[in-house]
Amino acid sequence: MRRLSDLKIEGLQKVFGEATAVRDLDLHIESGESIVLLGPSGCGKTTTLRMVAGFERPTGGRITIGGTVVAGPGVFVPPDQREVGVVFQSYALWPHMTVADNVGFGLTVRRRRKTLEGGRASIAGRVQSALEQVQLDGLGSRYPHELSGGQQQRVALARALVTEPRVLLLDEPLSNLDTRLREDMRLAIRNIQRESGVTMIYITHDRIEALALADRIVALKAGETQQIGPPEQLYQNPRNRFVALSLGPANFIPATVQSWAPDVVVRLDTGQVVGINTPPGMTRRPSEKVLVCVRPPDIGIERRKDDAETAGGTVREAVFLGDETHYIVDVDGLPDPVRIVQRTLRPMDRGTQVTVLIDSGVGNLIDEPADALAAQPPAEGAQLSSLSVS
Amino acid sequence: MESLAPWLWVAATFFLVVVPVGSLLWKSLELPESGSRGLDNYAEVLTQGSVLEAIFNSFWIGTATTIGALLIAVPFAFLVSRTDMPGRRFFRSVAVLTFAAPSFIAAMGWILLLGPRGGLLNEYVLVPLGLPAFDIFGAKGIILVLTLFLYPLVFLPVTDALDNMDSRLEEAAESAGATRWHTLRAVTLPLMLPPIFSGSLLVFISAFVIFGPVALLGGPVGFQTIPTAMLELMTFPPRIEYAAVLGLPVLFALGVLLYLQRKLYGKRAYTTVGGKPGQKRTVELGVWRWVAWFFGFVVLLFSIVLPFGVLLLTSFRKAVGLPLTWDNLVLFDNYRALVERPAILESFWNSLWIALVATVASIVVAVLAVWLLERSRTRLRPAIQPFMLAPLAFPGAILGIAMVIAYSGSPYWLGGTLTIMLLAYLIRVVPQSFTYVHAGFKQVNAETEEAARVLGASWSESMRRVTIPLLRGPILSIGVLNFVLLFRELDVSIFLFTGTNNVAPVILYNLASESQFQLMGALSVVMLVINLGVVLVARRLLGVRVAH
Repeated sequence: MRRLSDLKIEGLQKVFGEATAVRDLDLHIESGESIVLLGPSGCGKTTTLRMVAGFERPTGGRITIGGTVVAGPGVFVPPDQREVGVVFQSYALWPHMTVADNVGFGLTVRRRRKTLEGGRASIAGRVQSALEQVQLDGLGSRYPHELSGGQQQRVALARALVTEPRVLLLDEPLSNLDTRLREDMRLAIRNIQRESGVTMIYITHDRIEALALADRIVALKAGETQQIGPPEQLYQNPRNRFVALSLGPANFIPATVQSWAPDVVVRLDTGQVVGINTPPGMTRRPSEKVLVCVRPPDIGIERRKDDAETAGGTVREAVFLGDETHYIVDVDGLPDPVRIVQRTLRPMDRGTQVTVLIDSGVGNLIDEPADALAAQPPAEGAQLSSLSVS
Repeated sequence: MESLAPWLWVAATFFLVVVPVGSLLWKSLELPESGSRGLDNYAEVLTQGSVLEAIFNSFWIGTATTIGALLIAVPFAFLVSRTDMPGRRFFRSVAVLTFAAPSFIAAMGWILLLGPRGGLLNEYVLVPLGLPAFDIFGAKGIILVLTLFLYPLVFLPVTDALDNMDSRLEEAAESAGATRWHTLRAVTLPLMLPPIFSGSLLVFISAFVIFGPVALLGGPVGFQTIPTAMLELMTFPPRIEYAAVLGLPVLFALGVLLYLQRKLYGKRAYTTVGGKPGQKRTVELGVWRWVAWFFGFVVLLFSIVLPFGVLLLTSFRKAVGLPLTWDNLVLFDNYRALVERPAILESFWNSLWIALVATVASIVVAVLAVWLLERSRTRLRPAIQPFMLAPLAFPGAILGIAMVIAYSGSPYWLGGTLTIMLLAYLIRVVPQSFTYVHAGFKQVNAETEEAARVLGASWSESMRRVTIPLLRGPILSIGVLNFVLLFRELDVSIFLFTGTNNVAPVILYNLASESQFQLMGALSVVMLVINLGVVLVARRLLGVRVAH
């Protein structure tokens, strides 16, 4: 029976010389929960994971696994006593051992320490069932270099799981795989995590992985937590531009608050008046300038009729991608072009005069000053969108 | 264990580097007459005529050898890498082989070839042809032997650079209208300058401080360089503090030169100019290719075939004075004589085991140091590389003297023991062990070790089961190389030898200085065969490739 373990991170901090890699991270992960740390490189996600594993010592704060403090003021439990499993980005399979020896390594260590009951046979049995779990039965006698990338990945996963760790840590495990394999492995990892009920921290910069694998996502930027919440919440109600762009392409439309209570209604700079969502705990006064985040599929687009009262615009770029068409549209009254994704059979040509429709309820107020749009360079997440304005 | 590691390294470094150098420095300041300390020894030594002459000789021999090595190595490298010279791959491996044979044994061969009395070349070639006999003893003999022994230090890096240079760089020059000769001067040669310069520095340093050939070829005519002068200062009357005085400036100068050399060659940026090596262009020599072949043949003849062939031949002669006829050859007598001398047998056994232990110990120190440097967060990290490479600046003679000063007396009392010999051997090979293991370690991803740790393995278990097995290749290669070098180590051994700690190279050296030529021949053949055997067995059984 697996020992259930929660993981508590309180005020975690890591400073390398002058640079702060992680700043004041607070996170309580329930037993069996799947957490994804999402952010671009250098955001501190790997450092956080390495501190949980015991490869780095925090410079401040506390980490508690299953009620035991493993890192904190005056406490440091070395990695070999933390009972966590790690899947490394490089897989870190030992090339001089067979697949079975790789997977069984943790068990042989425990047998030597007399913390494992049963002999060689029981180790072989557990290795066997671990390999079955990742669908590699029969490959135990191969060497890692004889396996494909996806198979190596599965070996790494089996090796991390066979010792029944209290927490499973995965450091961008899919980044070396091709797209198709990545999808399969994503599902496999999610299923194994659900079945085994292991508490998991998964690190990635890929929004699809984050959305697919997380019970909750932690969006990180430059060592600081931006937002923590379920995938839907981060996608639909991002707190700021960074979070919005981390989870997908987004438009930021300047607007003016018309009324705040009972419902929040704003006048977009396009002239439309719409109701929008707001992050909890945020207030703005009427007539204040704000930014509204709208996802590209949430904006309607149609050929402009002469009598239209809604916002007008001109198609700047149209790219037909089969399932959907991506548009970049210059909208009257907006400083930046708007991205729109639509499911259409016949895409409109460049230069077409269009009407742009934003319904009530699809917009989301973000916690940033309205002039942030002009002042800030595009966030890193911008590259995630499939279209770019040139 | 993990937390002990830095302390283990500090202790090792203390005894291997700090104590010897510190003792040398301290001793050089000691004034035996007054019992106090001061700089008087420096004034005393550096005004002695014989010492100044030895220093001058070292510079002169170093410079002349460097020029000689360049004259052989640069054209040879070009011929081997860039022309259709016949047998070029064979000639390449010959240059590596030169390293496998110790220079003092080559010097012995040359005594037998060109000795003024009974030298075979003199007697059977030069004199019958009406040419004047060549006297190997003295400066020109030393330069000849050192040049033929040290030229690979330039040849190998230059060949390497020529191999890796992108021919497109030259083609670019030619397409811009340069003639082939102009291209060679304006493009190829400048690109070869860094390896040429760095190789020349190594030749100079080696010739500057080498002991064996100088002692054998210069000793009989009173020609001294720094290391032989030091040995004399230690023998009669023993003025060890004077030897220390002579050693320190050399130590310092070598440190600077080696630092320079590493700066220059360490990065190797120039060898990869232009990305991946393109199609190599070969210069077609036409009829001249046989002239080129003859050049290579002569180098081979003089650097290997003649000196070692004559030793083999001598090991079958009844006596060196007798004419070379079948009647005067014997098959086993000289080899049997080796076995019948207990001192020789004992020295063999001693050499074998201390070379082995020193090899293993140096690898242990190297793995520890490299791990601390690459994986730990200890504050010692910036100090690790300099300290591990520092012994490169100790020529055998100076290391020998430092060891005598540091360890032979109180409180260690290791003088005249095999232990002091072993310790010195260990110091000698620590830098190269460190370099090899370091290079290998950089290929090993840190995550492989972390994976073991997180699965519950302690530091020592993850080292034993993961890190060290992954370093098997470099560890075995450097192990074989160390063993081969130590088994024939003369330069340090001669300073630590007291008669109670026999090792094979010193016995061999003594046979040479006692002119017991047949025994000397037999013993050198046995030593060379053992060295070659170790290399071949390692390659066959373990797949180890030894290269410099």
